[in-house]
Order: sequence, then C-alpha cells, then structure tokens
Amino acid sequence: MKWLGAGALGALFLAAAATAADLPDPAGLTMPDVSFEESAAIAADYDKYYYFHRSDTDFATAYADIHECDALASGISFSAGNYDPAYAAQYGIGGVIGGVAGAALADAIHGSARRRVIRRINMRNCMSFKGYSRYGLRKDLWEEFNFEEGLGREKEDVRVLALARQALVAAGPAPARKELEP
Amino acid sequence: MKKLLAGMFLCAALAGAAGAQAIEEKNLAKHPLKADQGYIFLHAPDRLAGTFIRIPSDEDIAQYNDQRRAAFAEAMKKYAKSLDRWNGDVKWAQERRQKAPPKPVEPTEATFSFPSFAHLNAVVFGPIFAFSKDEERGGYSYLTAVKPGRYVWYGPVFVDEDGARTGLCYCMGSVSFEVRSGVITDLGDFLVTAPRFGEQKTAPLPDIDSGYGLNGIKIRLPEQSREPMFGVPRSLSELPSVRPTFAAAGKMDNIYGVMISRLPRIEGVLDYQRDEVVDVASGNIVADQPFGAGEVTGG
Repeated sequence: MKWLGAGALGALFLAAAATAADLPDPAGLTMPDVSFEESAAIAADYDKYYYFHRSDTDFATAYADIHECDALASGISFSAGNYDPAYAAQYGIGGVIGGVAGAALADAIHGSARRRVIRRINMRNCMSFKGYSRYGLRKDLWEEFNFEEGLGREKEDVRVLALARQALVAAGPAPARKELEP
Repeated sequence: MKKLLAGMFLCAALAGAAGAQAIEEKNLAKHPLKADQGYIFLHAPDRLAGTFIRIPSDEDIAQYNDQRRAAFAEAMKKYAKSLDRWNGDVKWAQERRQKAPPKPVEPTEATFSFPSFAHLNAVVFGPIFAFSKDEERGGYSYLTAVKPGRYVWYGPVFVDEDGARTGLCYCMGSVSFEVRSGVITDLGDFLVTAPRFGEQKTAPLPDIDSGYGLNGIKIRLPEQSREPMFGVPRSLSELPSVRPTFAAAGKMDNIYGVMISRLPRIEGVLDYQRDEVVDVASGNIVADQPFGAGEVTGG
C-alpha cells in the first residue's frame, strides 16, 4: 500500500523519516564539545541538558533515529515537513481543523513551557526505547547543538543542523561520564 | 479567547468521536444494545480516560478519500475567491502607491489541511461518564458504543476540561483488538494490568490532570502488572459479551502532540526488539500503524 498526498494533518511520521537524500554530510559538521567539569549545580539541570549516545552505531543510523524521535516528539502537525505555516497563518485556525488545530489550541491552552517539557520527555523516552543512553551536559554546551521548541518551531535549517550534530555525538566516542536514567 | 479556542477544539474532538457514545449504567434503558453497533467495555482500579482509534477498512478509505477530495475542491473555490479579492486589493494599493497585501497561498495536496482518518475516528472515553462505579471489585467501568471494526489502544489520551487533548500516547507500540457488532467487547482491566509496567523505564512523567471535578481528576498511570480480570457487571450480564484476542500494534503518529511512550511488553502478545514492535504470537516485527491519511492507492 502506498500513501500519497498526505496533508499536514495526515502525513505519517514515517514520511518524515530521514532518507539518504536528506542525510547531512558528516564531513561538513563540527563535533560538539561535550567536555566539562561537573558540579552539583550543573547536574541539577540534567533533566533538561543532556545528550544521547549508543555504542556501535553509525552516523546515518543515529541521524535516522534522532530524526524519527524528533518527529514523534514534536507531534504530527510539525513532523511531516509539509505543514505550511503561511497557509495556516493566512486562512486561520478555522481553515486548519483536526491535528494542526488540536496542537495549536493545546498550545494556546497549555502554553509554551508545557510543550517544552513534553518535547523533552518524548525525546528521552523515544531514544531510550531505541537503546540510546543519556548523559548530562552543561547548559552552554548543550545550547551549541540543541534547540527548545515551545509554541513556535525552529527554522528548518537550524533544526537539521542541530539534529545532525546530535547524531554525530550519539554515534561518536563513548562518553566517560556516568549514564543517567532515561 | 482561551475559552473560545477550547470550545472550538472540543467541537472538533467530539466530531472526531462521531458515532461513539459513552453509556452510563443509569441510562442503560435508553441505550438498548443494537445489532449493528459495537461496544467496548473496560474496567480500571481508578477513573481512567483514553483513546481508541479504528483501523480503516477499504470502504472507510474510499469514503474518507471522497470526503477529502470534496473538501479540497471547496478549499480551491475559496482560494479562487481570495485571489480575486487580492487582485482588486493590489490594484487599489497601486493606485494609491501603497504596499500591496500578501498574495494568498494556493492550497495544494501537500499543504491542504484536512483531518486524518485517525482524527475523525478516534473514540475517547472517560474520565467522567463512567458506566458505573464498581461496588463489587472497586474502581470504575466504562462502556462505549462504537462502530464495529479493529481498534488500536492509543493510550490514556483524552479531552481535558479545557477542550485540549492531553495525556500519554502509546505511539511506540500498543495492542489492537476486534470489536464485533451486537456484542460487548470485554477488555476487562487488561489494558492497565497485563502490560509489564514495572519493567519499563521511562522519563519521569508529570501528573495527567483532566481538570474535571472540584479538585481535578488525575489519571493514574499503572505501575505494576497483575493477572487481568474480565467480566461485565450484572446489569450487562444478560447481554452477549466476548473477550477479544489482542495483537501487537505498530508505531503510530503522535497526532495530538502529547507525551509519548509505549505499552510495556505483554506475555504472549507484545514485545520489543529495541524500538521495533514484535507480535509474540507470530514472532514477526509489526509494521508501523497507518490510519489512512491523504489519498491512498493500491500497490
């Protein structure tokens, strides 16, 4: 069975799965710095600032995994890559019923902070189920190759670069520090 | 504004559950069992809420695609009108040397927005409108009239008091079961007792508060498994009921943008190889679960 013409509300996250054509060239990426001196204050924020790693995983696999988890974590209204913000903005919420409206209204009701929390939980669960371990990171280092999304959505080129650098770390050298709970 | 938005979404949510109806024991006389209707009965130790989504049949897909095509045609008509209006606005602005308004965006098959089959066929129950508070076993039972078909347990995802979807989606693995016409499909407390909740580690989850009631009704997520119990209350015992055979269901879209997890493994039914869903009965990896979105062609 082939699924075609999936609209903003209906596209499967599978459609958002990274393809070979989408795969950034790791040679053009800078490996993020994840080395720092741990302190109690830094460790207190590990629920927000962290990175994933899995042994024996190549960059392409890690990128596909992170990409899928990002799509699942964000919700379908954002995941397909064919959601057109201009269309939604122009025709308003009345013209965009169902999932996009649901996400938008849920956001309007529950707020940006809530959505950021949900995204973090979702990434942690998804990557954990995929067998990745989680390691704490200092906030400023985390900000170098991560983004937070609340009500809005980060620009696509910024997202892709950040997800690719996260994949570089996930498939990179084994972390020397202690693994965290999912 | 918040209430307006909530009201709009609540309407959309209720429309999504069209054909589904919560039945309370006190109203049972008003809702005699119908031969062409399916019924989902379940029980939980506390108030529960959640969503089931029907897997589309070929007939469903054909009907859905007809509706979608009609809606797209309507959107194109509206776009044509908007374009006419915009042309006039541009001319008006040019005559006055003012900035022209932005050109309308033409809807396309890719950007056209229409509810997915899942949105239109999601069945939501609880936490209020329980069938009964079970005096014999404790806890609450829920009975929902639904269109017959095969349903996936989407998870404790529901419409809260504000009209927003909230909760936890088992988007990374769950179970499905068949609902037949004219009988009560008795899920018992299987969904909250059979999965090995104690074995599955996840990120700490915040309370899922429905907002209903004086102090809000929190949906308590199961933490431990035990032997499931089945059986319908006495008030339903005269009606035919059947225990379904559960099968593993693959990954699903997070269509409401809620928290995601997966139903923990279930002896003889559901297991995982990392994030791949395994149907224990067949030993096969289960494909991701599409619900029918957009045009569908054979092949």
